[in-house]
Amino acid sequence: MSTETDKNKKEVIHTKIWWEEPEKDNPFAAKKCYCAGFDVYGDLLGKASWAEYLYLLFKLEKPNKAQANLLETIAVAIANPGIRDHSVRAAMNAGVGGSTAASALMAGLAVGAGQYCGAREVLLAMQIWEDCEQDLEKWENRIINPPTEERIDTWAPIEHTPGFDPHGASCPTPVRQTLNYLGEISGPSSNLVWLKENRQILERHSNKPLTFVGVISAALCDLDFSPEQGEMLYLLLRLPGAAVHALEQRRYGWRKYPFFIKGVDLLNDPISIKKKI
Amino acid sequence: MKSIKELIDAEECWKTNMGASFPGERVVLRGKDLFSELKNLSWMQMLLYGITGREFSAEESKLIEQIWKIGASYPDPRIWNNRVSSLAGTVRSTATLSVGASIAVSEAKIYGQRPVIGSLDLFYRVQAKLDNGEKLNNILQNELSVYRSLPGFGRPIEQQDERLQPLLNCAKNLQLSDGKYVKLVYEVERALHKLNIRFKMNVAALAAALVADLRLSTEEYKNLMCICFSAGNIFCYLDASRKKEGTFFPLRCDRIIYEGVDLRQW
Repeated sequence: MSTETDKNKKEVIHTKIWWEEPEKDNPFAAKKCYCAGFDVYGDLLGKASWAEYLYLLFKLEKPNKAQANLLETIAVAIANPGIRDHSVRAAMNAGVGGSTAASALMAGLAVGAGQYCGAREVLLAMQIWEDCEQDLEKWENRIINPPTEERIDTWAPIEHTPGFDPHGASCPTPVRQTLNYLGEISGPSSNLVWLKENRQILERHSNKPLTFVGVISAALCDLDFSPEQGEMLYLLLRLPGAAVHALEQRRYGWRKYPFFIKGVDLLNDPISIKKKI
Repeated sequence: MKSIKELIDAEECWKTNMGASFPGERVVLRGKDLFSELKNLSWMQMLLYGITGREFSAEESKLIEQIWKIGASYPDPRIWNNRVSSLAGTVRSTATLSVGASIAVSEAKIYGQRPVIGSLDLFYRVQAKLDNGEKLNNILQNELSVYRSLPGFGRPIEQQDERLQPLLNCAKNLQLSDGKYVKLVYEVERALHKLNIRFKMNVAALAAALVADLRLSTEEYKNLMCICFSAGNIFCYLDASRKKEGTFFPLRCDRIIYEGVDLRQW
């Protein structure tokens, strides 16, 4: 393997994830690629599932069967947030207008990154799991007294308890189904099982129903991902829905897609103000 | 339930003071007709009006343009956000995608949006504490002990910021350099020097002081500055897209220093 002194002091990239051996005839082409020590194209291909490889990339270790199964189930649960989801709607706007494929996913990512049903909310929810663990009293205190930041950031302060829906009436069926199933494939001491048992108590404290963000955050904590890793995974794993709905709406075209033609109510239109006067 | 009622009330009804277009007819921005009442505004004046709802003079608008030009428009492909545009250019992605990605990447911690916004926030918080009778040295020491950094002070790679004097000269020429916050930023730098803290002022601090004297809020500044790096992004995309494809800083396999576990079998 290369050492830093071999490089004539050229700047290098440090990594624990990836290593390459060059082809003899081209130092810019890889002959072998290793991920966390595994030969990706010579050994791993055909043996590792997508979920196992994804886990390996993030954790640098092969998952056990239960971990791989949980990650794969999470990936299925959130692969398509649904055609009405904000991030998918953003991607469809790229589709109907004939924008580039990347712009559809970038739109899905930008909107799906948010603090309402998005990846930033997952990070914040996972931070609550880190701080409060499976302690109801700590959860209650956190919900009643959320932390505040003196300094301004590009992220505005979140406006609701992460993992709970400020516009919800009751916990929707798919959220409960997902929580139930993920709980069934997890151990009795898991966050998912604890959340299943205490969901209604937490919903009473926050006065809001649990969301997918709340369930998936618990599951990602069970897999021992950091909040930053969870944020990335949530962004990544929800992209299939954004992609296919953008492609589909491109085919349908803008004439069959809502424009909200009469939807904008301009409160200070100078012409209608003059008419009133 | 109240929570659902908020959604029902908003269905098909977006109430706004910001504006709208009336296709074939006119455009309204914050209650004024874009083609008649706002026809004499420059693009930057329009942007400022749209963000703040207040009209800015030609001099004030020019100062913001100069902050963008002097402070954020470098055509250097090594700067991280610009490098994204160069990479997009070398792989023949589109100009729009490159700029979109670079702007997003500009929301960084060690440079870009966060120090930009953080500087203005710092000055408003410092001034509020001074108004409350606290001493500047104590305020700065407390900031550093709690947060370990002062947005707008210190700079990766090179501490001396070559952009400060040109921006100050520009502000002087526009007669916009004598405000309370410009005085404060130099007081902060002197205080840090006396405290033997080796953070030097960078352009984000001076820019923040200048806009504080224009009475921009941190939220207004956040929205104003989110595209301020776009010119440099475009220059770098263009440069790379005109050179042979794939030739922007190519990396040999042996530029990877692998620090992970030993080779193993799946």
